[in-house]
Amino acid sequence: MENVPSSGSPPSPALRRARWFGYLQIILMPFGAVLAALIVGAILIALTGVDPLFAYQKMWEGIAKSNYQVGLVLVKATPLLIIGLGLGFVFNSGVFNIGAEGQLYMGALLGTAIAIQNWGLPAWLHIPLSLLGGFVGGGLWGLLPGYLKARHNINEVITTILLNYIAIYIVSYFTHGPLRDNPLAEAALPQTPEVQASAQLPLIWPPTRLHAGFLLGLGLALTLYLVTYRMAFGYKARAVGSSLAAAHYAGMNTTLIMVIVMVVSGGLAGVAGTVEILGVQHRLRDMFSPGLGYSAIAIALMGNNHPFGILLAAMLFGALQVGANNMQALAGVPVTIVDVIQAMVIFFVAVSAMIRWRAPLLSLFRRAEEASG
Amino acid sequence: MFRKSLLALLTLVLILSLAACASPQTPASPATEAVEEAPAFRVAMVFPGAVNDKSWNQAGFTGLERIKNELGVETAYLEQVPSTDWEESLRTFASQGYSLVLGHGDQFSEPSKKVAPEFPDTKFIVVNGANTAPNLASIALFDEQVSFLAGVVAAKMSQSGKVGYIGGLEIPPVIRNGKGFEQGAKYVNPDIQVSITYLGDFNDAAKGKEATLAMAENGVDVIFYYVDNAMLGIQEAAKGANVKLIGCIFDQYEMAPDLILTSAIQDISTAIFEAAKTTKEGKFEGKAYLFGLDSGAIALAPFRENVPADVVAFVNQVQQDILSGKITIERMSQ
Repeated sequence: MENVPSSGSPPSPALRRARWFGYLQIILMPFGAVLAALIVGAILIALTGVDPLFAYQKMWEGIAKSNYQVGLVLVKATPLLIIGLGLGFVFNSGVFNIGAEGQLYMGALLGTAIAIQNWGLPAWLHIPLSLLGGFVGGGLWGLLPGYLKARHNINEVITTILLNYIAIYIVSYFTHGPLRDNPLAEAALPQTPEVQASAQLPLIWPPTRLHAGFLLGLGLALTLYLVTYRMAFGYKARAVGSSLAAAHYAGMNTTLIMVIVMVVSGGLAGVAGTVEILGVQHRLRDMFSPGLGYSAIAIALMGNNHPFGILLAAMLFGALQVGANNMQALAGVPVTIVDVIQAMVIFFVAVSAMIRWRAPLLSLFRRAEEASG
Repeated sequence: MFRKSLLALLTLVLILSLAACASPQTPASPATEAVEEAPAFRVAMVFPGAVNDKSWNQAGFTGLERIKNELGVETAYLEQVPSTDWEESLRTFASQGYSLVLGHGDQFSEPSKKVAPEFPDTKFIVVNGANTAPNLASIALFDEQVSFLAGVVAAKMSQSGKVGYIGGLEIPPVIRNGKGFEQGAKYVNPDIQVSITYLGDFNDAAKGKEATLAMAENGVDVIFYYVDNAMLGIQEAAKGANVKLIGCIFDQYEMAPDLILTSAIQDISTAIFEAAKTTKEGKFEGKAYLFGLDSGAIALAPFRENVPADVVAFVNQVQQDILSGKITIERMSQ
């Protein structure tokens, strides 16, 4: 996958031109996607009687007016980043995991179940143990469709979507039942007790709300980069994605590889869910995720499945979310319009990613590259 | 590899150029202007659901609209706020210098307890809240008082000595209404039989119908209900079974003039409006405000000709006794 041709003949002018177009597309596509969404959004905002420039000004203030707001953007980006990393990893192997939402719920369930226990553990033990629980919960929820896909070739898109519903209702059962806080209190919400102080992620940039989960996300991004591009396993995983038959023919245990990438992907979604509980919400609630697992799919696409691209895409989405909330609160843009704008960003990003993959220019670029190197 | 890091770089450029697009407007931020001006009284409210849900959130929004129109103050709100943002949504408004920030529902109890100390100059009110602090109050309706009156009406109007209560879900306001109703009925007639049923659903008309028919078969002839759309099934069954009804939340007489004796009006929007008015007048206290019959937020709907004058007079007397403290009604513990 190294794109810089090895030393030898210099690239031909045609190759250079083609490559330049390729880069240009990679810049223009996400930029164009966001811009297109904002332009269409401006029209919708204007239709509701709010000045679009005023609304976008409020949006911008929400993102960057103060350190506090920047911290919020990173808080919002954290779960998206961690899920997106896992999804990028699994997409590289050609397995389309749509089940991050369910894996997030199962991870949060197991992680929270550990985090609320009053075992008298020190934080350095309680936090990793809870996160491990999150990984196991999400990982198991990824293992099942991964195994079915790898062993029996059952379409993972369908199984993971179905498992999402099951996971969400399992969490609903536990928050209404066995894990419910104070079930005898008349005004009890369906939620678990608060996680122990020893399991809460510390704030790392007071007075902002940024918690240690963001550092964990950065560490995971680096780790996944090294695994994917610097280790044999990452090479094999990408080989499975490029051509399953070829990887199989080359003697790789493709079944095992697929199962492992699904477990890692599900596990990371589970960690993300746990991080959200330990760092922000401190209680697991019925329906606690506003579709994080689905948004992260668009983030992995936008980041081109590359850990560093995903990091930037997650920050962009975090910024859009925080900005959109501010726009709703302070410019009076109706929440439905805000939702439409956010959905349009995802839509345009997804479409542009598809176009990018299929663009004739890029295939020309690839062919030229193959021919030369 | 090179291409990938270039991609990363370019995405960064994208974010920065977004920044560049928007930044020229930042200096003229109205928020900073607001700080310089004399602090005007501004009210913000946060809703867990949609403000047009024809139910809890809409009732709260009606209160906010009254605040805007009748107090003439600037208002803002966030609706459909997911649990991820409960705490942050309160901070958003408090940090913008809003004088009063309301959370519409018990789910804001804990978030407001965390946020209130961070903004000592902002007042916080949680509707049906559980906590108080120097700048944090809760408001709630004294539902038992009006359902007590409903119980009095039912006991007075019942021929059979059997009355019934049909609730939606078994949650605090529904339970409180049932308890108040039972107390009121027993106040009139200590031997009266009060059947209490929860449908497990506010909107299932079929269940409402079944529950009504079951009660009618047992001789119940007056039913007080606290449901939403399930009332349609209750009204349909009551018509055939010769059962009289007492409505809930708003005056429902027009829905079934031959059946509805009165309604136990419970108007949270009035409580919200009154609390904001008190705050604007500088009389805010960090306590649990309870809105009873004296506030106008709860009341029995006006009687029509289907209730005899002696019953009306008796109910009015009971209401006077509640207001004067001669009759004390227990508030269910939180």
